[in-house]
Amino acid sequence: MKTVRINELRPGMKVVKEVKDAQGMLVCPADTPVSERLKELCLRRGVEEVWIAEEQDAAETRGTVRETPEQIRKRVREKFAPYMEDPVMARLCELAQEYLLRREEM
Amino acid sequence: MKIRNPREFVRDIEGLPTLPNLYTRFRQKIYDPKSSANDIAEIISADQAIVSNILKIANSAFYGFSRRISSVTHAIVIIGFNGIHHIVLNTTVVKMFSGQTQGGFDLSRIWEHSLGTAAIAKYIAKKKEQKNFEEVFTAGLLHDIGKVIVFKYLPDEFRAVMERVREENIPIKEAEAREVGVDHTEIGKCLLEEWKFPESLVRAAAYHDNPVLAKEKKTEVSIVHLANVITRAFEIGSGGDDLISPCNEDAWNHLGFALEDLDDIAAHVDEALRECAVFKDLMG
Repeated sequence: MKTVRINELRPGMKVVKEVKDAQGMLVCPADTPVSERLKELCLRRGVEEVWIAEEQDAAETRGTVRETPEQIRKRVREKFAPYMEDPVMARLCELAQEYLLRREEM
Repeated sequence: MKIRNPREFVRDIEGLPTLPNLYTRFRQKIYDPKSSANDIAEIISADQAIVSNILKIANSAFYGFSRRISSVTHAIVIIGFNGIHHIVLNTTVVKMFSGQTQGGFDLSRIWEHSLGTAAIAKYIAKKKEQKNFEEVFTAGLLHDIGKVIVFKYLPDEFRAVMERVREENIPIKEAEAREVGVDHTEIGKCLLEEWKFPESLVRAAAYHDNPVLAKEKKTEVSIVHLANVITRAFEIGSGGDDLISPCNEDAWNHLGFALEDLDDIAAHVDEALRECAVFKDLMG
């Protein structure tokens, strides 16, 4: 992990530790994707730096950080795991993976 | 604050927008069998913002008419009283979804989730050849209105709910029950009853997580339930937590779908979202 200044944040990065302002109020939780709105919010609340993963910064120089197809499949399968005995939910799990992979490609 | 009586709570909310007089007069007129399209148009024409929104929606992909609709009277004739009723209702309540961030959660994500649920519900309703597809759309749009109320009028409790959701990885409904005393389905039900909204909307807000309890309007509630399950699975916006909501067997059987129907619905999700994109403009 490393800290970066707010104006160095780019879409595709993810804030890995929760951000709090000087009063200790939560600005955003851990794992919040970076967006223009988040940057504005941080600046408005006087937050100067946030934590991101080291590899995100490296990846940012190449473009944006994205989940790999295998990470998407794994994440969706884990969320659906308690319901996989239901054929409707098992099918929906497959369809959700396809949908999210397609959306990620766009 | 813990809510003991959700009905009293919604009645006493300070600053909760009341429905405009226009909507109340419009609703009286629309249920009057003697009313004509001109009578209804006359009431609507008093509010140019609603006129503009009706024409925007009537001429959008939501309906997909090939010919341009240029007046409210024309729209009423083509779309019908019930359809117009729901357009007016949607344009009236849609502004409630505009807001900022509480507890690291942006209200626009609930809006995106609600619009996604509405769009998918509309597709399912049309697939089921339901004539009241606009009503089902509205039911989808308002199914989580109780969350919006907690977000806006109990901000400290909402922050506590979100913290609990994140720390314990539990459904938002469970966190609401612990932090607020009641969950969003009860608050939404009471609010829509107070506003005297149609029964299908009240029941969808109350029972979208547990459609077995809907003794009436079961088809509409089951459709909104399935649309909500798909919207969560496809990660369209956020319902507050990122957990999967299981499809209720009773609702699935009630709709009489096979797995192929689920494939068909999934294949049309993006198209359904595009058809309803006009509602994003209404948010401003």
